[in-house]
Amino acid sequence: MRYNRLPENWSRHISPTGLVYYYNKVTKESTYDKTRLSVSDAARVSANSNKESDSKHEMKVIFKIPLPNSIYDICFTNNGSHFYYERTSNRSFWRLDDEVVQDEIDRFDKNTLIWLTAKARGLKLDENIENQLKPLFRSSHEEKEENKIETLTEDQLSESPQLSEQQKEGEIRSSTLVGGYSSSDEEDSDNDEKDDEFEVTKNGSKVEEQNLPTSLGDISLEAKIGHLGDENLSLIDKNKGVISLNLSDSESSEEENALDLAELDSDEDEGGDQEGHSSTSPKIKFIALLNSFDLNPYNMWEIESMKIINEPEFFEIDNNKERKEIFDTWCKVTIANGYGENRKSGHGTNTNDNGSDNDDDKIEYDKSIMRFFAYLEKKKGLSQALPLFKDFLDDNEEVLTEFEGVTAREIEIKYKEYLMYSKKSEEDNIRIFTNFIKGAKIFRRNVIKNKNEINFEHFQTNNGNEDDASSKKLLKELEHKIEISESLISNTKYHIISPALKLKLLVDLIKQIV
Amino acid sequence: MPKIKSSRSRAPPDGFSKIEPTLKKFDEKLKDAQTKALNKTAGKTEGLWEIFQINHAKSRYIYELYYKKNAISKELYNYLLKSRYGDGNLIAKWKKQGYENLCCLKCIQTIENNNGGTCICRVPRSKLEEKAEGSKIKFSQCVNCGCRGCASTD
Repeated sequence: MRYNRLPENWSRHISPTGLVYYYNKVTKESTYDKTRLSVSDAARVSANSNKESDSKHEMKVIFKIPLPNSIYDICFTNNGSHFYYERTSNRSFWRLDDEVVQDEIDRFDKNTLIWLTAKARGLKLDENIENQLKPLFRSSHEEKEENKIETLTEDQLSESPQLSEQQKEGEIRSSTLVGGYSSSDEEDSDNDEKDDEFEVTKNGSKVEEQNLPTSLGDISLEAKIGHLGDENLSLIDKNKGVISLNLSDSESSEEENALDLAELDSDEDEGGDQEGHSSTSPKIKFIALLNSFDLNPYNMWEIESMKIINEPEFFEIDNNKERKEIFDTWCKVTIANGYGENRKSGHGTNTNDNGSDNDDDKIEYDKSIMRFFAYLEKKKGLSQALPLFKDFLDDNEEVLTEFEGVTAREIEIKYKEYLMYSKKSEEDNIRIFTNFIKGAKIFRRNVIKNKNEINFEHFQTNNGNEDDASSKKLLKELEHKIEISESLISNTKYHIISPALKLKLLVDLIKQIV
Repeated sequence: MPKIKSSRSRAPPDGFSKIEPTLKKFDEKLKDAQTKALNKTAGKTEGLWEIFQINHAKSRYIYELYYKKNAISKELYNYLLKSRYGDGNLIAKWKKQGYENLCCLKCIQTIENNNGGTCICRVPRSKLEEKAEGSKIKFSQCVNCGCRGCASTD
């Protein structure tokens, strides 16, 4: 039975060379080797698809606390949700209907649970609260020593029933135990209390910052806590203010460390005009966060902050005022570095595209109407497919704004003319073009005036077989030399044949005149 | 509320297109708030609060673009104020010491107040606490614009 049936999501195809290969429609993998298929089991597939969809919002277990009288641990993840982990069977559940567990959890203070959730999400807590939480961690620490249960990997997580993000959220809200610090009803009830708490938090965190050594190496270590929470970095150490790496892992992560460092360094340079040395580590992290997202510096902080509010680094800075200040400075720097220009010139996302665009710019014409014709040339196939100007506009909205100084009416007329000529055969167009140039007295006059400057050998071409870019360049040079008149080049007839051909014809015509 | 554009009105200076989406969002919000204010059956003042707040937020946005982020040119800034995208008078107050966070102009108008003082939202939080002497502060939102306190020290 195994022989014929493929694992889920895999399909069999025959390649152009006649070999049979297998393709996975979810992971987009393809392979000739059938034995590899079984490796990609459901877990891996779902893990992969998870990664693809939101690699930024990956869930990681920040810490877990054993429930002494049961076989379960309660684990908190970095997005504030929690699940139960069965020690004996290595399974995990989002939800448990076990009375023992319920009792265990009921013994926790409600506030403690809220704080734990907040901490898992990366919020800094007041020292007093941290002290209160310490015993919990200590017990979990011991547990770890003797039992050595690793925190959940993604495969294990996917064994548990997969819930969509929203479902999880809803669950957390509805559960009476962990309300989450952001639940609205609570904020209403003890608003003033909250305010006070926030101030205390601020003070507490400041003390913490001073305690932290400020050399960059340590900063990077602290930064690593963010993403390596599920490796052997233990949170207990963070509570004590001492950060230690588990030795077995330190070597492999050293490289990552260096990378992080470089990143942070550059960020610091960019935001250099902020206070340089004192307690920069959260700031640097925050700026790195700003850089990593595609934020619009022209927009308001209130709107832009919504894009990054789910990141743990967001809570490195305690209050919104500071965050906004950093954002403002970041905007200033980004705008000064030419945010807008990058956007405009780079239509594509990758840098190679940018490069080629710039090359085109050099050859492109200065006058807007000329650029429009060049644009039409580029989209030749497209213009034939869209016989109506309206359709063309719908597909290319940028046309109206990109060519300054050309009215919509002009564009429409030129487009229609261009379309008319592009339907004719090439021979017809060549004839029209030659007649057009021959009939123009100003062309003749200009050529005669400038005939001494024209070097025919330079413009000699291989019968129009040259590549587009070089012939465009030559053509522009030639046009410049003979001082071609504007009335000529803004006529549609001038643009109905390809640049290489145009160059050849022009050279021939000039030869005739001379 | 910006001036209505006609075919004769002046074209906006460069850079306007970059901030236009945000300004449009403000306009939409304002429209919503206006309809809500008209339909609202509850208190007379509450309906207007949102309008005041949007006006504040929009002016603040323009103010920060020009003074904090240096994102727009002087020309564009003047254009925005002239065509009433932002409240120039309010921005003028923000430049003065002590008025950095002023919520609205109505709150500093002493004439409309019985005792000839400013609105309660202008009183620093610390002073309110002093006065309350440990008991809970009664003030939550001011009657003019729903401000929760806009003293510079807050």
